[in-house]
Amino acid sequence: MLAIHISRDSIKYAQLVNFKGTPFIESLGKVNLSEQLYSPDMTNTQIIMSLAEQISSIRNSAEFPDNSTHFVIDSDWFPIGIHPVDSALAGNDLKKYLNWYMKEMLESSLSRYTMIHQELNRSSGKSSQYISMAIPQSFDSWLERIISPSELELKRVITEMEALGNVLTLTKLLDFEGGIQVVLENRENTINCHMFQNQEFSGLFHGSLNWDYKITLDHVRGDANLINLVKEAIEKAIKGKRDPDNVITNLFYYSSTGDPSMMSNLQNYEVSCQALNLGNQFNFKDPDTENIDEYAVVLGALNGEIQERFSED
Amino acid sequence: MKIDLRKDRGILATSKFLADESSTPELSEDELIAETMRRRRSGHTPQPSEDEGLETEAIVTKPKKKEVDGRRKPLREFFLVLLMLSALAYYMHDKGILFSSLEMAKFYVYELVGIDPVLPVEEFDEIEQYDEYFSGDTLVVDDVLPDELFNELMPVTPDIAALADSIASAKPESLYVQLPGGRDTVIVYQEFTQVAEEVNELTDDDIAIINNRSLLIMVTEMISNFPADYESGHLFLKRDALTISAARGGDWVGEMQTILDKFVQGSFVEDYSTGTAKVSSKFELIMNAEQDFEGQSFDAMRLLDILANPYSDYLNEIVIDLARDTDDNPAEFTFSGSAQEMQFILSSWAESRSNYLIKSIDIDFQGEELFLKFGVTFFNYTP
Repeated sequence: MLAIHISRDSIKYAQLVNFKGTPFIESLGKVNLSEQLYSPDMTNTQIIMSLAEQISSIRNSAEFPDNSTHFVIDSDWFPIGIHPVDSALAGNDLKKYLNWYMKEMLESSLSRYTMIHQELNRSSGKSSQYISMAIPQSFDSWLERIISPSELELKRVITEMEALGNVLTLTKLLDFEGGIQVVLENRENTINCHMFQNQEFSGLFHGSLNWDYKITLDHVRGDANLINLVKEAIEKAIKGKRDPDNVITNLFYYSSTGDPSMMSNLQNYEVSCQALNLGNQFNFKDPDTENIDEYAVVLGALNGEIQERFSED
Repeated sequence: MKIDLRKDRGILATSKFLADESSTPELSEDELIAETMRRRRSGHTPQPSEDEGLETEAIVTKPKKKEVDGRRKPLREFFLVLLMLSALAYYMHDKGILFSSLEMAKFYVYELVGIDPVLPVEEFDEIEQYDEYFSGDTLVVDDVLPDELFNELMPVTPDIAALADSIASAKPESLYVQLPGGRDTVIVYQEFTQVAEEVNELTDDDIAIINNRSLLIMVTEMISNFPADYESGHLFLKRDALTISAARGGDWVGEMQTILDKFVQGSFVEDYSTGTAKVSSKFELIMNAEQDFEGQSFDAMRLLDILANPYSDYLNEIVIDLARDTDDNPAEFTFSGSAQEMQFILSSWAESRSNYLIKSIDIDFQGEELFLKFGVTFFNYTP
């Protein structure tokens, strides 16, 4: 079983094998992309061919060939809205409201997307929370073109946020008390935060990390007020300042392309801040692999497979 | 949430991250009852199949073609009907009642469609002609009666000849007639004076700048009428939609409707179901173009200087990425202060007529303090 994560600047992958009834991560690796990817661009044949070649070579390099693959795509490829909906709304009215909401967001580009809406598991009595995602019309054909040369069989295609939620589930780090949990990825000059609450995704933001440890928000999805509080809490944590009003229950961090020293203050901060440390959570063929946390998303994508195949053991 | 980007579309059922249900903490009996009640109240049942392809994947079903009975022969039926009609006509002609029946049928049809067969039927293609005809003074319309009949009914006496001469020499204004009910009409003709009018050709950018002004003035008026006595409220406006929520009471909802009527055309929905009053509207702005409108174009730094510098006492934050080097530069301005101070900012912005597009205005009313957030985009503009 393969998991492949296509992100803005790299393709990461992991292979899961069954070694005498125990799940083992057989190969773990990444390929850097020469051009930055932001969306399923069907017009750029060169990029599509390059991606298809990279994926074929990943497939061919796997030691135990297996066609079945989980695919993960960066969350910011898809316009996402999280919004409260009156619980009394149902059926056609609910559909109309959710579509209207996305129409307001996408305006004239609406016709280029198809919609997915799902109720989140943190609804209160009067209102339900829904997540809405817009999938570009070109997505399926784009996926088909980059996958078909390698003859991989796609099992599931999910977003980065779902994969990170799976990581917390699998590692038993998921909070059941309603606390706010943040998974922070330290990328080059930017941070990428996914927020979870009540065992459910609650928001995400990308921000530029400035020299004075201030974060400039570039991209926000979810409750903007809560995200601002979380952003301020992270700024203080990165500076090493104590924050009596800290709203974050757990901050799990890891560095991918970013300078790990930026996160050094977090190591000595509070109990609530901790590195993901996935090296202790999985069985690796090569346990000395450098910076295993960097592969959190692909490992999260394999969660369902591990649960399904090995839960009895 | 669990979403497969390739397979899932439409409204999906709730799904937690937890694949292993055994690790879900057990709900207490009270929590289970509360959850069941919530589900029942919401009445929500997932309808994945119905919602699939929600926006763009309309299911096209071709209407079934009506089956044609192969045994039917339309040509033969047509000849049969023709034969029957001929037989009926021959019978009626034989009895001498054919033409009288046709006359009766004709009158019946005239009566049915409201045509008086005695009056000549005229075609009116101008509303003025219609008015002339039905003005009550039909004598001046030449073709109502033939001349010979008219002369027989009304022989030309010296008095009538003098009247006709005076009508011919009268000025057009003197020929207006006051009809019963106060309606004026023109008997003979109307003369329209051509007015030379300069047509202003406005670009989309011009219209965006003009509509900025309308939006800003509208919001300034709304703040004046917002219920200040209540603790909190919220106003959110986009270029084609608006929501306002505040405590019920007073006549602020009516005031908002009056203000909206002045500036926009669209819907107005009031909702009191949540205990507070919520007003929402989807609309199109009525463009109020100024006579000598001239927009101004500035670079981003100058725009920041115009839009933020004079109000630095109230400015909380500007979010902008000047280095992005694109045509459209989004920016967010947040101000706070009293209602009068925010109205001062709004009305001052309304006078700027510069190259920025207001995407949204968000006002959070917290007692006497207002938090005003503008979402704008700077754009390249050639006046």
